[in-house]
Amino acid sequence: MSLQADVRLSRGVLHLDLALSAQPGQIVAVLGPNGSGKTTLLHTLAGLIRLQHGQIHVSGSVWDSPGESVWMPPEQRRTGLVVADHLLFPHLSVIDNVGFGPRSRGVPKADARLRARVELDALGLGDRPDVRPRELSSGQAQRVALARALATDPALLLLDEPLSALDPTTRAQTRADLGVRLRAFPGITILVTHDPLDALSLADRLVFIEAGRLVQEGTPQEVIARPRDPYVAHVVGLNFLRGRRISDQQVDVAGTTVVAPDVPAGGPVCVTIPPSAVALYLTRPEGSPRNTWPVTVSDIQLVGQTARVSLVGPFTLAAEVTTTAVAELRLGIGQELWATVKATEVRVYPA
Amino acid sequence: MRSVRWARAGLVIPAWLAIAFLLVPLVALLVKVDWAGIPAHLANPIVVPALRLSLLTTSSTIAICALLGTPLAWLLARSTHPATPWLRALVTVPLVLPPVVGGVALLMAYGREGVVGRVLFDVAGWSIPFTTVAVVFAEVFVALPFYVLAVEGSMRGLDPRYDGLAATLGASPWRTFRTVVVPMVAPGIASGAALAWARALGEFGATITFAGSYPGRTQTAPLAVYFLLESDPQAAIALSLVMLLISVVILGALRGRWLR
Amino acid sequence: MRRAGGRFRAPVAALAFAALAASGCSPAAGEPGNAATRHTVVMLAASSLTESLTTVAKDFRASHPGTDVQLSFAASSTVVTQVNQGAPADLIALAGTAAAVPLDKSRIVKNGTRPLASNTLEIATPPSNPGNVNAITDLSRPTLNVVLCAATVPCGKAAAKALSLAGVVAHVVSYETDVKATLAKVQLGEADAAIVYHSDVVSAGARVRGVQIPASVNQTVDYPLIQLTNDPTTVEFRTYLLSDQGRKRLRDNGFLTP
Repeated sequence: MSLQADVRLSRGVLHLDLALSAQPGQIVAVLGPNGSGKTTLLHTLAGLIRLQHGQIHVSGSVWDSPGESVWMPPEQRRTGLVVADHLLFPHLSVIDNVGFGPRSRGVPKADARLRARVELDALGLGDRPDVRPRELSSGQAQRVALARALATDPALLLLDEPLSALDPTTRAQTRADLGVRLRAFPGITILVTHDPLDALSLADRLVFIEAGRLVQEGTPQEVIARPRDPYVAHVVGLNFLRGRRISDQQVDVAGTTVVAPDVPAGGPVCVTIPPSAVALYLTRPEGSPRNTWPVTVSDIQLVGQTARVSLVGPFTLAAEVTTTAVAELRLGIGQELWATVKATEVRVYPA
Repeated sequence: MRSVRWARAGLVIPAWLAIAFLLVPLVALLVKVDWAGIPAHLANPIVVPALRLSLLTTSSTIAICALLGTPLAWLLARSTHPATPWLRALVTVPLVLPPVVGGVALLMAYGREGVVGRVLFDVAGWSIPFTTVAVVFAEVFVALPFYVLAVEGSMRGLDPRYDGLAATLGASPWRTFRTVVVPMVAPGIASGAALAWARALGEFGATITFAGSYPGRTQTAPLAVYFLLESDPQAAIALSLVMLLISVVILGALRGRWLR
Repeated sequence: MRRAGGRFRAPVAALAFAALAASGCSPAAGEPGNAATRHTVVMLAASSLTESLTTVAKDFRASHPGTDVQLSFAASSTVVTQVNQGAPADLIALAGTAAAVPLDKSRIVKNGTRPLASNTLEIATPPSNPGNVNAITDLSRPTLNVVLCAATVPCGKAAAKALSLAGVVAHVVSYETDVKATLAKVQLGEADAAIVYHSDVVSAGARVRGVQIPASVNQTVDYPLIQLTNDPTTVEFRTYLLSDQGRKRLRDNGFLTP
């Protein structure tokens, strides 16, 4: 039951134009900034929004094809939808919520309840089938919403930021449960999120959308190693620069030379530098690093034992240093420093 | 905080005046009634038939309001068509129309000489005025707007994403309406029905103009009170009291259950 | 420095305004009392007198400049109820002496009752006579929509007596609140026939067709004119009503006068 989608439509200022395909058992994460069209994409797959151009095929059957005037309404498609705020039916008990899908498809009440039971047990929620949704915690409610979506045996499971409404602790636990359940799901999962951790820990493939267009896709490993877009790099936590090859060892980035090993042939290149590789000094250091630049501190964010320091210089950089270093260097906004990066830490690849 | 206390007094005094204005006539009714003679007064031959007729017609009216008004409310709540505000205004018209004017309009439409009524009479021999059906027509005409507006308000408050979600789970639009929308707006439906029922029970002008007044057939309780006022005032007061009690009981029961 | 009376200014102002507004109201017309200054007569009358009294009042205003007659019409029983509950009226005219029985006698001035006019009953049908009604006996036909006044109003009582004398059980579909409402159902074409006053048939002109009721069963309804206050304008109008000019107007509208 594979998915082939060519999605093209305009809604207000959003112009969505991208192609998406997936195989059964795959978990595809869709990431992008707000307003990039992720939810719209999900809704076209669910049948809640119609395409203007393009088509959606699932296992050979056409779900949407404006060119052929074919459109399958949502209730006939085999999709399951989970949203950030669960949207469980408040007037139905947990088990009736989960059984709603099978019941709507004509399954007798008793069988629907059995099916619901199976799904709830798979998510560890089998003990309180008759309570109302308002008595559940947010994490439990989200899991019930997932069970409800899965109870219809969908070909396509659509998750729209399923963890974003949960507090950090619940989110971590629910993410773990979600991962286990998704691995066992035989259909295709499309997971929309803006949390890199969701994507990197749950997905087999990542798809990045910006302003309605696909900017990069690949496995987590590929994307982490070679982001090709500032947003993608931001998601995976790398400094990202664009430049042109000068020589085998040198790249020109906005007028400044960056020294790196193995600069590939061909003009435009992407340059990434891990924040942890950026070292900070009060005075210009002597010695080996040939990438040394004067910078000014523009922001400092403390995250646990590390600090993320935003720097402005020949280009913007983020450095990751220990909080001890912050204290020793007496780091403050506006302070002038020297940043160095070992050439070996700089990675360059074709754009 | 003198100004705050002042503002509060400024609000509380008019509020109490309003309460007094509404309550004093009701209390006066209770004071003036000849309690001991109530059973005798209620034995006046037009009282019980009028009450029975009123309960029959208002029940029919509520059923019709629910059947026709709920889908209309849904249409108004979910439609994005530019004509929708006009349609909503149209539905509101009977609310602001003097009831007698409504009765005249009903005659013009469904009377024997009426636009629709003439066709009905010539083709099928049916004449609606002077029948119990005419009473229901008049009551539905004045009560339906109350129902539709109350229910529409409730439906507008319903997160529209529920519809889409139910559809992805495989529910047809009709099933979604039946099993998701209606149960979720049940409190709105109940309060709409209560309002509509109360309005229908008290309807006078449209009823007497369109349906006339005949004991047991078209003489509803409010009409009976009016006619009793001149022939047997104590019976009129007793019947008024009964209507007041019925209204209070039904509205009170609905209030507790649905409008938490 | 706070002004001690400061917090009371708003409500005092409001009260003062209300008092001013109340004193600015002119005294209700018809208030017994300042007889010397008033030139308005308030009269409540049975609805069958609508057209005739309106014309008489217009004549009176024209021939007596500076005066005004305020008329209000309703079923006689309603008029009596209103007067008993304290409605300010100088003169009233009722359909039928029986209607005057429940009236609070203390309100009537000495020797204040005079016969004004009398009326007989007549059947009214729409001009096209869709029910083919030509005699009082036709009223019992079950296919007809016959409308009568309610039994509590004089027109209804009289009609019931006439029908009983004629031995006719009319196929009644509605009992209306007063004779004008009864007539309206005929004029709208909803009723095939109604029993109203002869004066109503006359004043409806071409909009209604009349069918005579035989004198042997017909009822005469006498209209007493009852005086409630003694002020000069009221006495003037009463005299005018009972004069030849007033009586002529009543006869023009189908009433019989003594």
